[in-house]
Amino acid sequence: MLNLIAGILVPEEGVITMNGNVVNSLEPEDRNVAMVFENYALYPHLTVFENIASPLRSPKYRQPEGKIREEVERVAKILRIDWLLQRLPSELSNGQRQRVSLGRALVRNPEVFLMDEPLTHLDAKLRHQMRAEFKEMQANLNTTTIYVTHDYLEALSLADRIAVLNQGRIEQIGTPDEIYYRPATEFVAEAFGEPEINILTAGLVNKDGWMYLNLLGDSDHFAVPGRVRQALEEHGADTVRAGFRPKDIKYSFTGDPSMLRASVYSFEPLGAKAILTVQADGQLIRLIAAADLDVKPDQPIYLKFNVEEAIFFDSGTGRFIARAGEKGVRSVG
Amino acid sequence: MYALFALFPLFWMLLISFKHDREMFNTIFVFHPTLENYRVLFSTGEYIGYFMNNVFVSVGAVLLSLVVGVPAAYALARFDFKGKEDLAFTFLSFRFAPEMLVILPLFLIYQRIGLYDTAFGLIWVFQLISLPFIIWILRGYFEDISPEIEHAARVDGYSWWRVFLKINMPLIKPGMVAAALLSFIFVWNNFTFALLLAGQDVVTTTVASLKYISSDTVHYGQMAAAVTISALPEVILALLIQKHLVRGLSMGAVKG
Amino acid sequence: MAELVIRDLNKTYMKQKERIHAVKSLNLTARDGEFIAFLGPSGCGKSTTLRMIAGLEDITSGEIEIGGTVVNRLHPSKRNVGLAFENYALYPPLTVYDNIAFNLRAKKTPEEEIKREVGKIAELLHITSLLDMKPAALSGGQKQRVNIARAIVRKPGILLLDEPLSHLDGKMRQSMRTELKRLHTEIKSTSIIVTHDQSEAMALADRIAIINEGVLQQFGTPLEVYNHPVNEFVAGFIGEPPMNLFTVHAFTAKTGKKMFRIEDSLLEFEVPAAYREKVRDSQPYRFGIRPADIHIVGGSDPHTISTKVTIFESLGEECRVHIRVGETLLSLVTGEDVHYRTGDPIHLLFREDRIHLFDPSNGNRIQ
Repeated sequence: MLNLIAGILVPEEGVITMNGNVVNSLEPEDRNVAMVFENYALYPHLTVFENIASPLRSPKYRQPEGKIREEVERVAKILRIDWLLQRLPSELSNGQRQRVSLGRALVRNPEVFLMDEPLTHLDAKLRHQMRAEFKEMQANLNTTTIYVTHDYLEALSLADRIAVLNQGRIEQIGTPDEIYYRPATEFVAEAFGEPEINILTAGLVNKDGWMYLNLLGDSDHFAVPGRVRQALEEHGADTVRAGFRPKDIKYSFTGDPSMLRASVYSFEPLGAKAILTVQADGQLIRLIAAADLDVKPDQPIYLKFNVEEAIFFDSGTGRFIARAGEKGVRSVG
Repeated sequence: MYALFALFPLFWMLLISFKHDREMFNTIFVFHPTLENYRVLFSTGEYIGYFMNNVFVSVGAVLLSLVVGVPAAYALARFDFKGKEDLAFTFLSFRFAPEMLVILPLFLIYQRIGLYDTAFGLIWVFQLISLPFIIWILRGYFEDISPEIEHAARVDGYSWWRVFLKINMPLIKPGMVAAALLSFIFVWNNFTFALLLAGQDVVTTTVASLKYISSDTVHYGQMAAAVTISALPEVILALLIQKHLVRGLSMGAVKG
Repeated sequence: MAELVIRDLNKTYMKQKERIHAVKSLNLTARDGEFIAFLGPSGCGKSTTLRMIAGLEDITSGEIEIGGTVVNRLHPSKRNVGLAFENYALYPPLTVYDNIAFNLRAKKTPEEEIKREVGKIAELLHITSLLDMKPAALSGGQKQRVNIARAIVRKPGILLLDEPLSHLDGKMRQSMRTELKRLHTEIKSTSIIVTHDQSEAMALADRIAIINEGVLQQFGTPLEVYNHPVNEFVAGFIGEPPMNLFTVHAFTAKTGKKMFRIEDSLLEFEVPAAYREKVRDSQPYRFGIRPADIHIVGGSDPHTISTKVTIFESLGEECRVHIRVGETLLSLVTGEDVHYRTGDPIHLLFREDRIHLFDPSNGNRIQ
C-alpha cells in the first residue's frame, strides 16, 4: 500500500491522487513524497550528513550547498543527532539510525510523509520513548503523514484517523476512539487492545419484558440495556457475538447471585497489573487483575460482565451491530 | 606444509630463471646467478610484444565482461523473471565445460567467420571465463544491497540511472574490483584458448613460453624468466585484491 | 521432578583471541516444582547457563546438581532434563506423533505405553488432532506445542525452555504464554525458561533470575524484582512502560527542607521522608519512579510538582502523559477517562513509598 503511494509499485487498478492530481504514472522521484523505511535504508557509504543532505542534492530538489548545510543542521538538532553528522551508518545504534532516516525525510517539505514501521526494530523501552517523541514532532509538522504499523499502540497514539487493513482490504477507517469503542468487525476489535477482547457467542432470550443474553450457559445475569436492545431487535437474529474488553469484567472470590461462576485457569502478573485467565463453560476469558492477587489454579471465581460496555457483532459476518455506551460516537463539530 | 608444497615449483622457477643453461640440471642451490636469461628475453623485443598482447587481450576481456556483467548481475539479483535461475546457472555452466570440449567447434567457427588469430576473437572467447565470474560475484553483492535503499534514493528525488550510479556502484565497488582482478588472473593464465585460437599475430605470454622449446634443446632458463615476468602482474594484483575482498562496507545500512 | 542447584558456576571461552567470561560465579537454587526464569538482554550469559545445565556446553568451573546428583560429567541424555529449543528443531520427515515418541522409542519403551503417553501429552497441549501431520504443515504456535510436548514426554526432572515464545507473533505469543503457565500447574515439573522479554518472565515465573553481563543481578519473585529492584539495571529492565530514571541533585531549600532538583530542568520536589537522613546536599543521585506510581492531583501543594503536558497518548485501556525533562521524557500512566492536551498545566504527585533511589557510582539501591 505504502509502496503504491510512493510509486515504488504501480497499481493495477484505481487511482492515487495528491492535491487533486492523479499520480499513478509518475515516477517516485517526481511525486514529492518522503518516506521512512522499516529497515532505515541509509546509504552505507555516506556519512550521516550526506545521508540527510541527499534529497537536497538530488536533481529534483537541488539546493545551494550553504542552504543544505543550514537545513541539515537544523533537522539534526531537532532529532538530537547533530553530534553524529560525520559518522557512517555502521557506527550508529539502531535508535540513531532510525533518527537519521527520519532526518532524511524531514529535511525537505514533501506533500506527504510515508512511514513504514519506523519503530518496529527498536527494543520495547526505546520504542515507548520514540513513540512519544514522534508524536511531539508530528504536532509541530503539519504535513499529511501516512504511518504503517502492526502495533495497535502506535496507531492509537499517533493517528488522527486509522485505516485497519486485513488481507488487502480496509476493514474500517475511523478515529482512534471509533476504532477502539465501535470496531466495525470482530477483526478490528481483536486487533486493538491487550489482552485481547473476549468475544463470546450469546443467545438472545426475552423474559419478563426484558431481553437477556444467554452467555456461557447462563441466561439470568445479562440484561441487555435498552438502547442496544432496540438495535438487536431491529437486527433480528437470535444469536449474536458479544465482545467484552478484559477491563470490563469484574471478579470476586465470594459468590453473589448476580455473578457468574468460573474457575481460575492461569494468572500472569506483569508488574503494575496482571492478566487473569478464567475458564467458564469450557471457554477461556481474559481479565485484568491486580498484580499482587493471590490465586490458585482451579480455584472458583465469580465474574460480573459489564454489559453497558459490551460490543455486539453479527454472529455470521462478524460485523458491528451496536454498543450501549456513548463512547466512540463521532462528536459533531 | 601445503604452502611449501605449492610454492616450491614457483620458487624453483624463480631460481632457474637466474641460472645459466649449463647449470640448469644441478639440483644444488649454489650457483652463479646471472641476468643473462632476462637479457636475452628483452633483447629481441619479441617478448615485450607478447606481453603487451596479453595485457591488451586480458584487459579487453575483463572490461567487456564488466560492461555486460554488471547490468546482468543486477538484473539477476533484483528482477523476478521466468527462467531466472536457469539463466544464472547457464552462465555458471560455462565454467564447468572443459575447454578442450568446446575448442574444436570454436576453432572451426572462428576460422569460418574470420575471428581466428585476432585480438577480438580472443577477447570474445575469454568471456567464457570472465563473464560467469563477474556475474556470480556481483549478483551476491547486489543481493546484499537492500532494495529499500534504492527506493529511498528514488523518493529522495534521484532517477533510476542516478540511483544506479550514485548508490549501487559505490556499494558494489569492492566486489567489482575483486571480481575483475580474479577474472583478469584467470584470463591472463589461460593457455588452451590462446594456443589454439590464435596463431602468429596474437601470441600471449603463456603461449610464448612454448617457443623456448627449440628442436634440439629446451631453454629452461629463458622460459623460466619469461614465465616469471608474466607472473609478476598477477602477484601484484593478488596483493591488491586482498584489500578489496573485505566486504564490510555495506554493514550498517539497514537494521543490525 | 527434581531440585536444581548451581554452585559457583563459571564459563569462559576464547573468541578472536579474547577471553570471554560469559558466566561469572553463578549461585542459584531452583526448588522442586518451581518455575524459574533466566532474564537478561541478549548476550548476557543466560542461554549459555541453560546449555550448561542441559549438557550441551562444557562447564569451566563450578557444579551443577540435579536431583542431588552432580551432573557436570554426565552426558546430556543421562541428566534427566528435557529441552525445548528456540527454533523448534522438530524432525521434518517424522509425523507429530513420531516426533513426540522419538525419545521414548530411543529408550525402548513398549509401543503400548508410548501410545498412552503421547496421547496424554497431546491432550494436555491441545495437539491431538495434529498427531498425523508433518511439522512442515504446522503453524509456529503448533510447532512450539509439539516441541514442548517432545520435551515433557520423557518426564524430565527439569524442563528447560529456551526462548519458547520469541518466534511467535503477538497474539499467538500471548495465548501460548497463558497455556505455558497453565501447563506448569498441571505437570508441576521444575522448569527453567530463558527469555529476554521481561513480561514473559514476570507472567510465567515463580522466581526470576535477572542476569547482566554474566553476573546474577537479582533473584526473586516477580513482585520483589518489580517493587524492590536491587540496582538501576534491574529497575530499568523490569516493567512496561519502563521506569522513569533521572539524575537528581540534592539541596537544602531556604525553608530548610531537603529537596531534589531533576538535572537539566527546573523541576523540584521534596526528598521523601525515608531518604531524608541518607541524602547529602549537592550530591547527584539516580532517582526512579514507575509511570503507574505518579498521580495527577487537583491542586498544588509542597509535595507536588507543577508542570505542563508535552504529549498525551490515549491507548484504549489506559492513557499516558509525557512531560519533557531535559533530553528525556517523564512518563506516567493514567486511567482512561481524563484526556489532556499538549500544554495543559498539571500537578504531579510521586507516591513516596514507590520512589527508588540509586547510587550513581555503582547503580546500587540506596536502602
